[in-house]
Amino acid sequence: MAIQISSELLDGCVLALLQTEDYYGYALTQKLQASISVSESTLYPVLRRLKKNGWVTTYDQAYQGRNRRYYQLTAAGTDQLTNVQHDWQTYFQAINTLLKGDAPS
Amino acid sequence: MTDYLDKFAALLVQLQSDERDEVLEFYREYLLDAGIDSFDACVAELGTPKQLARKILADYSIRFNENLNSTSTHQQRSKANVRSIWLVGLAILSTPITIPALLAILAVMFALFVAVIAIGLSVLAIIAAVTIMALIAITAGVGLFTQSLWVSLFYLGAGLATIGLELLVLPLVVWFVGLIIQGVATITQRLYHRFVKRNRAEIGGRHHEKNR
Repeated sequence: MAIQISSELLDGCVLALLQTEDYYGYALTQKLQASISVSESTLYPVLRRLKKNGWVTTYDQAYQGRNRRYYQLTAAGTDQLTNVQHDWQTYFQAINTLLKGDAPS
Repeated sequence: MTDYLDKFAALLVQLQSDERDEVLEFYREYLLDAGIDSFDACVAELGTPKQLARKILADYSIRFNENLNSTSTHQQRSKANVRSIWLVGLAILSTPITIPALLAILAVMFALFVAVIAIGLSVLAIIAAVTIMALIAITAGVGLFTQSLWVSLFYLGAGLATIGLELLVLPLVVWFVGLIIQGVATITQRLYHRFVKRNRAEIGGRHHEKNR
């Protein structure tokens, strides 16, 4: 994909994925990569940011003698997801209008 | 995998240990889940340890610059002071804070700036005036040498004594100017912590604003 995703949108995508279920780092990366091309190393800064902003919390769960850290959406995260969805709709429509070449004069 | 993570960890020394542990734990878990074990496979997945570390450190870079300020050596301090005054000015200008607060800070900084310039210029003027006087006295002394030996010697002596005195006082003046610069830096840093830091935090969580 030639178009780079902005960090706000990437935050939104991760929050949206966490809406349905809690994920651990690797599964989350796989899930994202199924839809968009993001590099494998991108996710840690994103998750750190989401956690710092209080949009996700983490909990550890034992798995084969080690821990897996799961990420869980918070209420603030749900609010933020709504914001991103709204912002994206506005942006999407504006860009679409421009790209079609019928921008308001 | 362990050698990859060790190399990666070595590049993250600047981070605080709890932060470093968290990053390492994330990628250890990631590589285990991905079933990646060899060093080369790790590089293929995440890039070289250096690339990965750069990516992570870029995320922390703002905090880095702050740390640099506190670790500067004694000699660099005066330069760092001047730089921090500029940085605070720029930071204030680039931060969206309420206009009255902005105006107040800018006014204080401008007043400080003018005061410092005024003191600096007057000190320079005094030094220049005294030096010129001494030089005139010496010139007069040399000129009068053939006419009146004693008067010429008086002028020469007075001129040389003045220059000698100036050289003695000069370190004191330099120390005084340094003191003023440091004082201004302290005041601006206090301003910075009072206003800008609060706004920094807001920038870090700027998405919160939309929530309100």
